[in-house]
Formats: sequence, C-alpha cells, structure tokens
Amino acid sequence: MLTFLARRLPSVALMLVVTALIAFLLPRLGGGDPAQVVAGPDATLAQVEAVREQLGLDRPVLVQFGDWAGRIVTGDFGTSLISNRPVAQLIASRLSSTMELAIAATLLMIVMGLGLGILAGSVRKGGSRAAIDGTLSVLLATPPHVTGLILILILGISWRLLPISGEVSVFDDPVTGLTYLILPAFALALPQAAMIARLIQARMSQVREEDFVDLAKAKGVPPRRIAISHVLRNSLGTAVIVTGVRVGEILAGAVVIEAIFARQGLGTLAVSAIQSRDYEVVQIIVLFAVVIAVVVHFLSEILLAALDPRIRLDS
Amino acid sequence: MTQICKKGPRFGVASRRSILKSGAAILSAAVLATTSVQAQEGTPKDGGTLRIAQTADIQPNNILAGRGGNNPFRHNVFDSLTVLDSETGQPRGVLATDWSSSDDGLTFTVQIRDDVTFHSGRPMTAEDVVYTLEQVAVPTNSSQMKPLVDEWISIEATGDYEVTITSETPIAPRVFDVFQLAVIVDRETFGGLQDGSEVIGTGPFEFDSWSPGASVRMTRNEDYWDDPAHLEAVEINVINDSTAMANALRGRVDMVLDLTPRDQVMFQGDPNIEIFNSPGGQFFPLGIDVTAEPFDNKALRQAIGYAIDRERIIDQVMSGAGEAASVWWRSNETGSTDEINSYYSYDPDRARALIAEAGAEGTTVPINVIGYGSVPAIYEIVQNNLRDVGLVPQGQILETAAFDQRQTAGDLGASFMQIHGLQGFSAATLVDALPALRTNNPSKFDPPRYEELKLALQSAQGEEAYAAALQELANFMLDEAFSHVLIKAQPIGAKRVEVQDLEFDNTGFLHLADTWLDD
Repeated sequence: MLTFLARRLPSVALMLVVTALIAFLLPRLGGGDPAQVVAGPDATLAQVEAVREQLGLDRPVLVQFGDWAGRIVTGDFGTSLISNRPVAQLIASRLSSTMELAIAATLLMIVMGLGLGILAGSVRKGGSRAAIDGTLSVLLATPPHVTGLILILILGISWRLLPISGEVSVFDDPVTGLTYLILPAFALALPQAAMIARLIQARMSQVREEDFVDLAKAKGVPPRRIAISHVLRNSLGTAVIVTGVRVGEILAGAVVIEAIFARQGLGTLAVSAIQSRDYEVVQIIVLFAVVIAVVVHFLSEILLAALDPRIRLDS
Repeated sequence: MTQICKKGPRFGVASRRSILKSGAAILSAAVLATTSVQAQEGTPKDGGTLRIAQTADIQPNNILAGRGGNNPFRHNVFDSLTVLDSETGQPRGVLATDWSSSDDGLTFTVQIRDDVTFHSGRPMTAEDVVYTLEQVAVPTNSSQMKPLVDEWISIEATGDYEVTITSETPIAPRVFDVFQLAVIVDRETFGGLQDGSEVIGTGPFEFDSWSPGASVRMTRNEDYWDDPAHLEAVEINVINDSTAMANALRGRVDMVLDLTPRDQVMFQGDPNIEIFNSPGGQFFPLGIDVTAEPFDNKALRQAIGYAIDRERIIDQVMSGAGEAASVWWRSNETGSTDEINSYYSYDPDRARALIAEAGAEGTTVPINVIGYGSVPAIYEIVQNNLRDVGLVPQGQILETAAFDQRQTAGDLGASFMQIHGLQGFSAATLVDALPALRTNNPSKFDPPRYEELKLALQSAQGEEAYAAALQELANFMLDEAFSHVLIKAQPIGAKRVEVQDLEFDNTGFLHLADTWLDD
C-alpha cells in the first residue's frame, strides 16, 4: 500500500502546480477588468487607472503571479479585490454551508444510488425492469437545477412543506437545518444517484455471467447468498471509484443549486467573484476545488486498492 | 447674497419625518398602477427587524459613489447634508440647516447642525464636511460627482458649523447632487470603509456586521439627533439570483428590491404582498458614433430614433413597468416638457423617409449590446424595428465587465445599447456624469455648441433661466440624435403588507427611519 501511495503522490503534486498556474491565468483571459468593476460602470479612464494602481494590477502579470504563488506557499491567500477582506476569511465564512450541502447530498447519493442500483440489478422481469430503467433514465436526464425548481414548486410553494430559500446551520439548529437541506440536497443528489445505480446495475449483469457465479449455482449455493456475497460484492468496486468522481460533480452542481435555493455557500461566492472579476477569490476557489477533488479521488483509489488486491499488485 | 433656499415650510429641517414621504408608489398586486404609499392608520409600533433582500452587495469602500447595492444602506447608516425630494426634485435639509449663494453664484455657504454625533460618539463639525467633499474628488473613491467637485477652487470650514465653497463656475444647483451622494463620513475612521471594518456615520442606524456577498445588519442608533428609528434592526440579505431573491419573500424576508418585471408576476393576486415602484432606476439608451460613416449623417441617426417602438418594449420586456422617454433626466426636472420628453415617438414611415433622404437604405447597423438585465431582450425588439424600416442590424452581446471596459475607453463601435443609473440627479449634473453624455463619450459627440449649451445650463441661476437653458440644450441634443433614450425603468420592489411607511428620495435611496412593522 505504501508503494502504491508513493507512486501516486508526485502526480498529485504536479496536478496542484499546474492547477495553480491555470487558476491564476484563466480569470485574466476572460476579459473584463477588476479595476473597472471597483471603479464602477460610470468611471472615467483616470478613475479606473487610479484604482488599478491601488490594486497593484498595473504590475506585469509574471510579477503578480510570483507574488501570489509566494504568498500561497506561506499560507497567505490574499485579499479580495472587491470587499478588501482576506480571501481565507471569505472562504471560511462560506465553507460550512457548502460542506453541509455536499455531505448531505453525498449521503443521499450513496444511499439512493446503492438502493436503486441493487434493485435495478436484481429485478429481471420485463415490466418492473422497464419501470426502473425508465425512472433511472428520467433522473439521469434531468439536471439538478430543473429538479430543484420542480421541488420548489411542489414542496415549497404549492404544499408549503419545506423552506425554499436560505439556510440554518445544522450545528446551530439540527432539525431546522435539516429542513433547509432536504430540497437542495435531493436536487443535487438525484442525477448522481441515478448514475451510480446505472453502473451498479450494469456491473451486476456482467458479474452474473462470470464463471464463479455459475460454479456457485452448481454447488447449490442459495440464490440470496449468490446475489449478496458473489454478485453484489464484486460489483461494488465500480460504485466506490465512481462515487469519488461524483463528489466532484456534486461540488460543481452546488454552484447552481446554491443560487436557486439562495444559500450562501462557496458556489455563490465563486459566481459573484467571477462576475466581479475578483481574481484573488476566484484563484483560491479554483485551487481549493481542485484540491478537494484530488483528495477525494485519491481517497477513493486507496479504498479501491484496499478492496481489490489486484490494484495493489499492479502498482 | 442671493438666497437660493432657506429653512422654511418647504425646505424645513425640523424633522426628517416630513421630508421624504410619498417617495414610493405602490402597485397593486395585480395591476401596475402607481399610487402613493399609504401609512397604516394608527400609531407606528417600535421594534422588530426588517429583513430585506437585494441582488447586489453593499460596497462600503464606494460609499461616496452611486452603487445600486448601497441604496438601502447608505442613507440609513449615514446622513447627507441635503436630500432631493422625490416629488419636486428639490433639495431639503438633513444635516444642513441653511444655505446661500453669492449673486454671481461663485461662492456657496452651507450651515450645518450643531447637535450631531457620529456613531463613535465624536461630535460632527464642519471639518468632517470639508473632509467628505474633498474625498469626492479623490479618483479611487470613484464618485460620479468628481467632475463637479473638480471645478471648485476651495472647500473651507468658515466656522465650527459652516462650510464655504468657491468656484470659477456657478456652484448651485449642481451642488445639491453632490450633497445627495456625498454622505458625511467620519474622517477619523474613513480608512475602515475600505474593508467595512469601521463603518461610522451619523445616521439613524449603526452598522453592526457585514458578511461580504451574503448579509448586512444594522441596529437602531439610540442617540440619533432626530427621533430614533422605529425598527430595532435592519438586515439586508444578498441573493444574486433574481428569481431566488423573489422567492425569499415567501417567508425569509419582508421586502425584496429590484425585482425583474418577470419575477414580480409571481406575486400577482397575493393579498399579503404589495408590489411597488420607487424613484430612481435606469435609463436604456442607444448610442451612435457620429463620426462613423454613414452614421455621421444626422438624418440616419434621427431615423433610428423614430424607428423604435418604445411602447412595445415597455409592454413586452418590462411588463408595463417603464416609461417611454427621449431625454436622460426625470420628468420632474425643472424645464421638462411633454414635447421634449416624447420628442421621438414610433413613426416608421418618417424613419423610412429619413433613411431615403440619407441614402442609407439597406445600411448595416452594428450594435454592441451590454449583456445585462433586460437590455438583450430590448435589443430583440430594436433589431426587429430596424429591419422593418430597411436597415440591417447586426448585434453582438458583450458581457457586462467587457462592455464597461470598452465604454470607459470610449470604444463601443458604431452603435451600442447601454444601461445607466443616476436617475433623479439634475440634468446639469448628468450631462457631465453619464458616460453616454459626458466629454469623451463613446458617441464621440463633442461639438463646441454642445459644450456651450451644457455650460449655459450649469451656470443658469433661478428656475426660469434653468428651464430655458435645459430646453435649448435638450432640443439640440435630440436633434443631433447621438444617443436615443429608449425607455426609463423605475425599480420594482415587493413587500409584505405589514411593512409600513417606506420612504425613497428622488434618486431611489431608501430611508428607513420612519419605517415600522405592523406585526
């Protein structure tokens, strides 16, 4: 396992360096000018230039990158160009909102994905299978923001069962916090759960055709035990690695879902920072998102390696 | 000395309670018909927290500049010397008790209250007023009033509670636009506005906390120089998505500001919600580069003005919440006439005749459109109208930040569709403050006659002279057709019926000192 980890670490480090470079350059290639945003749309050229100088944006890009990278290494994430607050403070104030949503959505995704996947992989009769396949197709094809709006319309506005705007931290008030989390977490988790379910279903069908399953049948192993110990156990590896990738998708989807449900998370911060060309905030959010995705992916690889000795041996 | 305005019934300062009523107009939940805000019968109740939602964040670092996000915040934490009345457009004293101008208009003196303290407990004096007005001229403070203050020779404290301004050009009436925007800041903590760590004003609410991009909280100033506010606290929630913001009115907040025409429809027929229009708002101009062929032909520029169906834009894009207009200032501006306000009305036949006169049939009209708010939707109607009269529009939607950058550089191409705020300021100020009209405007319209007429308006002393100068300038600008105002849109808001006595001034800034909750 240690050899496996040691071989993965250099690629992770390289990925972070490349990401830092992209995170720095990308916002600057998108047009627009933070000095213009700070000075306002009615500003004169002289006012914009004065603001640019004040923000240090009149320096060469390479100098700005060197300055930024140097600060990142020392743990200084910089100051927002728009609000003049430390970026670390801005991110910290939004982090818990996004993490609550992401964790709730991930749990729902795993529970629903596994449940639907096992159900879809177990049912082989025509009518039931068509119904499950149809449901999975609809869930897969419906993007989170559409699901979110439908949930708002039905459960929030028509039936008034759950709040549709804002948030209360589950650490401050667990019950109320959960009521605010249910709709956005469902909207975010459904398509991802359907994706996992599809993969488990396909893998279970594949495994069922394997020789060791036929052998188990020939030996008279009960069908229930074959389904759980042979088919399901050998199908879950796919689900584990895909779940890691899906967590990244959930974080990306949170940008839209936070906007629809008016939650003040990192997604909302990212959108407003991009709109206002707040380079300092955008850079750190991109870097942060990549680090999260890399870490989750890395963890899922470790888990997979633990589950499947072939992966460790290959490494 | 000629007295421009003295303390009296009309411009009295004894109590702010009387100065700003009628600023807002309620639209019934079903019909966009305006009426004055009616106070609930009975005594206002003290206490409660008013929860507001808006799409833009506050910008304490730009407190001296016009910013949409600051409108519900600025005049509650801070006070200005005067405010512009929403009905008359005339100044009324707040921190200023009296003001006067010399006969030649080149010296202006203002007296201020002697009983005002900042939230820090420090008494406010004339030195704070001088400091504030000097900050308006600092480029990094981004005030739209900088060109006006730049004209002033000196700003001096001529007493503990008296400030004197001198200039080489007449100071009033434009000085009241400067006063409207330049809320008095505490010179000792001005640096704290940069990151919002110290936001010290003299207003009816004290700044309590700010989570950038998320929320702001203000609490009642118990030591206010006037009667303390009824509300115990005010919370402003920032919700960037306009539809999500509208949805917040279903239990999360008491009032939402800057609703889109589309989103206000969701409250129609709801007896618990009132939709209202407030003063201020936005202009939607279509500018033309007068140096670009064939648009250097005035007849072609005028044809474009007649080709556009403004009423259709109001009906189809703004759901009725707008005003067809040809000029850049509010219709209550001194000297405004119906003839000027509706100079260009929809007349496709006349447009075709003018195009023929210019020999411009089939001309391609490249239009750069700001991708903000309703402007792209307005462009759809504009391009349809231009096609109808035989022109070939070619639109390009530009992202807001990129458009603003090109606007500041004066490089928007042959024609362009902009969006401007600052409604409610005087025409004399707007001609220098609006990018579409000021020197180095993207229309490249800067003939000596234009400068001469602008100066005449800015120098006019007295209502009669001002009205005459405005009409002459307006007729010249409209005839030259370098910038067509398509429509003006007032901000739309919605509130729970329990929210009482909302007050807006002429530029749409919200004043909450008298607001109360009937819960």
